[in-house]
Amino acid sequence: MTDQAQLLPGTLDLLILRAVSLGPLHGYGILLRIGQISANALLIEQGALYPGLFRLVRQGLLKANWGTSENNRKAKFYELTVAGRKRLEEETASWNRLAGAIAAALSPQPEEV
Amino acid sequence: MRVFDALRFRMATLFNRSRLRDEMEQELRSHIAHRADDLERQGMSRAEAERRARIEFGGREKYKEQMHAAQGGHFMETLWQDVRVSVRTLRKSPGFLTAAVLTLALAIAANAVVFSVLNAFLLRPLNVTHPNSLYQLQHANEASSYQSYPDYIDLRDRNRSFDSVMAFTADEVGLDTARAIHPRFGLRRPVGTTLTRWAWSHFWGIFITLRMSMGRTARHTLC
Repeated sequence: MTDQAQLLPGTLDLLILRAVSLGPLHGYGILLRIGQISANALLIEQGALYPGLFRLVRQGLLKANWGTSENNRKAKFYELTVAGRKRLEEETASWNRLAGAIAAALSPQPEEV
Repeated sequence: MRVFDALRFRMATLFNRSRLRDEMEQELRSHIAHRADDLERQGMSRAEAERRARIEFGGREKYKEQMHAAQGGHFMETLWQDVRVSVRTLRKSPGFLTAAVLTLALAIAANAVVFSVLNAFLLRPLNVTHPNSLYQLQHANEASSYQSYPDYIDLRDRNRSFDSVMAFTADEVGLDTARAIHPRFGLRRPVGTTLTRWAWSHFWGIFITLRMSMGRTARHTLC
């Protein structure tokens, strides 16, 4: 567990949007999906997911509906709205720009070699 | 429409608070049950799996509080609480309430008086009966609005369209305040006018000059 990275502020929303971009999921399913697509490299408190979900619903990026889960339990399923899909695309592009810039800044410079 | 939706949602969070809380509780319980299902599949007993899942999840109340805040539910609640606290506090100290209400009333009254005076004397158009039937005469083929005095006499004597015709002229003059010379508009007696006519123009001129110094010009000049 110790080799898991802490999330940067603001990245949880992006991960949630990404996780539900493949289809509607309930909260626990979103956690599993994030674990799956990040190869379990990120540490997310289970409960911390829910304030994030409620925030995204309020912003109109997700919509929620009660349904029945694969375990035959009642669960609230979240899916992307049109605005959510647009936001995911924008945030992904902006994240890639930022990550690229940081990686370039941290890579060995010619004068160091 | 989104504003309406948001408002309705906030009212809902205020009045259906317990229902929304129940729904949050249900959702978190569902999460814990799913986690327990997974742990059970890994070989734990159901009771042990459920216990483990609850411990992993942590304090539900804390998260429900955060969910409620993330929904924006705190806004209406705190507003309502603030209103209630204010009413209670004011009831407890009627002296303070009276002083506050009187202070506000006086301040509002003073402001209203000052503004209505300013409005009546400075901001309103010239105080004539029908400001919208006040026109400035100008020759159609001339860029300047200046007319010669004989033209004015002709206009005045042959006028059938207007109740009356009046001439005036405005000039820029220097106002010496010992420190600097400020440009101001002043009135000049038109060449050849009689003294009464000049005094009449001058009377309007005072208003026009005043209004010009206030940064406004007359909408129509009297002719």
